[in-house]
Amino acid sequence: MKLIDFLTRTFTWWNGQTWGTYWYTRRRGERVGEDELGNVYYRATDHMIDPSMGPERRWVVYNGLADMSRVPPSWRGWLAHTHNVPPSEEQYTPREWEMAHLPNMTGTPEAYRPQGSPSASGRRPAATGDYVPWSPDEGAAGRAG
Amino acid sequence: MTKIIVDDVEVDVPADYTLLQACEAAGAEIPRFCFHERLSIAGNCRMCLVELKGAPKPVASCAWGVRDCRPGPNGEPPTVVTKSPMVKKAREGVMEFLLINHPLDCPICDQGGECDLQDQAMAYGVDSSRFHENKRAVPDKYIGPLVKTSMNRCIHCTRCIRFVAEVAGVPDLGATGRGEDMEITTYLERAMGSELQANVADLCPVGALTHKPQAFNGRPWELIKTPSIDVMDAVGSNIRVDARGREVMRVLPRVHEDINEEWISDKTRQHVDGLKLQRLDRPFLRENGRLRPATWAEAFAAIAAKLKGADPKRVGAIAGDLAAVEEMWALRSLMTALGSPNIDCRQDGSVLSPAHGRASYLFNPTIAGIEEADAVLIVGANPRREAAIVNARLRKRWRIGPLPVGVVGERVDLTYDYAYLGAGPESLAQLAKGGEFLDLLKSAERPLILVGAGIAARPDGAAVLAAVASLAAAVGAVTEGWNGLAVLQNAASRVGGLDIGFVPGEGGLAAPAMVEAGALDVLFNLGADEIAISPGAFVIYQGTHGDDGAHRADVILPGAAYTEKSGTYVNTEGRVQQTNRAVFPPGEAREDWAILRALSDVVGHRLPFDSLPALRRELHAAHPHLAALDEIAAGDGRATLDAWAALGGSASSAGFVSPVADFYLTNPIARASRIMAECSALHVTPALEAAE
Ligand code: SF4
Ligand code: FES
Repeated sequence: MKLIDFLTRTFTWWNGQTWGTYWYTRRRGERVGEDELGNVYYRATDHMIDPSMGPERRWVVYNGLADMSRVPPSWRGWLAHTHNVPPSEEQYTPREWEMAHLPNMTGTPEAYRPQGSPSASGRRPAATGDYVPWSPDEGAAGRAG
Repeated sequence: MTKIIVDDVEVDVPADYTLLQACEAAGAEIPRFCFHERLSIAGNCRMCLVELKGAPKPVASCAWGVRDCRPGPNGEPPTVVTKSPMVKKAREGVMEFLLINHPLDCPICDQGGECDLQDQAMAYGVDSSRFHENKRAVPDKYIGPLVKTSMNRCIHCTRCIRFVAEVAGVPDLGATGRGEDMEITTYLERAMGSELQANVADLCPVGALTHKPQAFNGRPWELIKTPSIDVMDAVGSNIRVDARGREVMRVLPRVHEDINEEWISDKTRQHVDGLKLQRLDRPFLRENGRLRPATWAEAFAAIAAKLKGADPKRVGAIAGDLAAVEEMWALRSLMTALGSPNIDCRQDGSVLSPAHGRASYLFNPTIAGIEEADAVLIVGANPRREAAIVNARLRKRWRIGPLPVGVVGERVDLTYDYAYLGAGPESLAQLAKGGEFLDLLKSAERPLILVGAGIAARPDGAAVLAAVASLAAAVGAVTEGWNGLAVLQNAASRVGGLDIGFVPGEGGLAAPAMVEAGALDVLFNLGADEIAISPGAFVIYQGTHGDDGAHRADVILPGAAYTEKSGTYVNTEGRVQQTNRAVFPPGEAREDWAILRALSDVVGHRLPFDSLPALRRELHAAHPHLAALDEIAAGDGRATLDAWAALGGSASSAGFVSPVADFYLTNPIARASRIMAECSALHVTPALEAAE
């Protein structure tokens, strides 16, 4: 383990996992699978057998930034108990029109810009108050075209 | 006067009033769609129903005369009720019928927010419809580049037809079919051929006719409204400039009974896109034969360097057609300070001059006075092109009662009948010798002689004016209480310029002499774009648009258009009016008087005013009549006739030609406008059609 990983795991919660999660995962976690981003999913072994103890605990250890939008929809459905079959055990072929999951890019250069936004086209759309200045190289007004 | 009781209020109104007018006189508000004060009565929308005591059914108040009402059983005045449940029910019924076929597209309708139907539906509309059939669908028509149609919305009030037939005087709009099949259309999808056509969109009470150039561009409630004055011609129509942010979105008419009533010409209304095209927004300086953007300081320094050693006699100034009195005054003061007598506001080379008295360049009978004239002679003018609003007045007068009109000049369709008397000065002389029309003029009590400003700009202008003067004297056009000599100017700035004496001083050169090659060393061109300046002189152009003047210039100073400054304009009647600033000038452009004031400092003749009020104080002290807004200071008509008669000279035989060859392209703003260019392409030569 590199020193920087040690320090981030000690002092931040948003990089991978904290020490608490690490120890808990080592003691009770059962690895369920890994998604294409390298996030690893676990479930607790405590009360797996007895549902009366409450629902099974499921969690993810991020590979990198702990950003919930980096969990793909398939795994998110499993994490949130929407379904119980983890995607790693399911044979699912995506349709051709299904796009790959993209985390929320807000705040990054790849952030979504709505059509018409100056940042999308790089050009300012026409607005009230615009005028066309004359330049000496044009013909006289009304006679040019 | 007849007595009538409206909602328990007894009023005394003229017997020729309609019930609707009587109700308004009594303070009752009557909803209406088809009725319009300035059009004939159609009585086909039925929205104005009122209860007339004694009548079996509600009556349409717009079409019912006060004199047609029967008095009460005991001889008491007739009684009208406008607020009874019966009236409300009747109007609600009418509204329900109107809404049967009216689409519910207010959210995408340009009339939204200023729609009579919307407003009145608030008062008389029912919240649901009992009509379960399909609404009727009507194809949209093409009726020209200025008016957009959306014919599903038409409620067949026929205001547009009546306007076009009565005020504009062209037979272009009409209705086909009856009942449910009625449709408003032009003949075979032809564009309307009138220079007042866009007014129909103002008249249309719903969104069936809207302004095409403004389609989907703005909502009435987001516009800042500034009352102002039009400068597209010399009529000085009262307008309202609607702006959003820094852009003028549209121009609408304001009511001024003595000038434009409530119409404006298409050029007045739709030149607005020209205000944002081809704009001069920074100073330019010519270096090595090419204009390059410069700073104000550089531009002023270049001018100061040129003026430094210049002989004052070889410095001159010409003011163009759109200049306000303030900047002409500033320029005149500057030229006086420089010692130059060469100033002229008549770029067309006209001989009209303040030396002949103020009456010699005014439309003396006034525009409203046209309605009092009982014979009209038009000399060398095409009022339809030079001042469409004046032509509408003439037509109005012609429709009121028999009016003999004679024309010496071009043979064109003026929208009213006239006797064609010939083309040029010879015909004028012929007319003065005698004949039927001369007798008509002589027998008229208030003959009006409309003189186009163009004839004074001919090389033989003085001789023609002399001929007009002797004719006017012979027919008694100038008498006590009536001055029938009407000079129709065609430039907004002209009367103001002549008023402040922006004409050559002692030994000074007039505009045509100033632009000759070698006449001057430095020429200050204040927005004169219709005059060709020969090479040689150093030209300073101050204006708003990159038109001919800017191309010829050596220094360009960007000024403010009339919507961007407060300026005084004197219209052809001599009426003093002021524009107001609706938006700011673009870029580095500044108000014109301020540019001249700043320049005067650099050239070492600081003008004695630091603000517009200070300038106006000085101006008003010198010319007190310019302080009286909306007033006309009349000139002495007889003195003018004497002065003109003394002019003499010999007239050529060339026919009179109107100086306005193309109605739509008379000034730099209009020439920059794409819409005006489109209109011009459609109507370059208005077909010579027989008047109605
Ligand atoms: S188009 Fe407008 S003005 Fe003309 S009849 Fe229809 S509603 Fe009236
Ligand atoms: S306003 Fe009277 S019938 Fe239309």
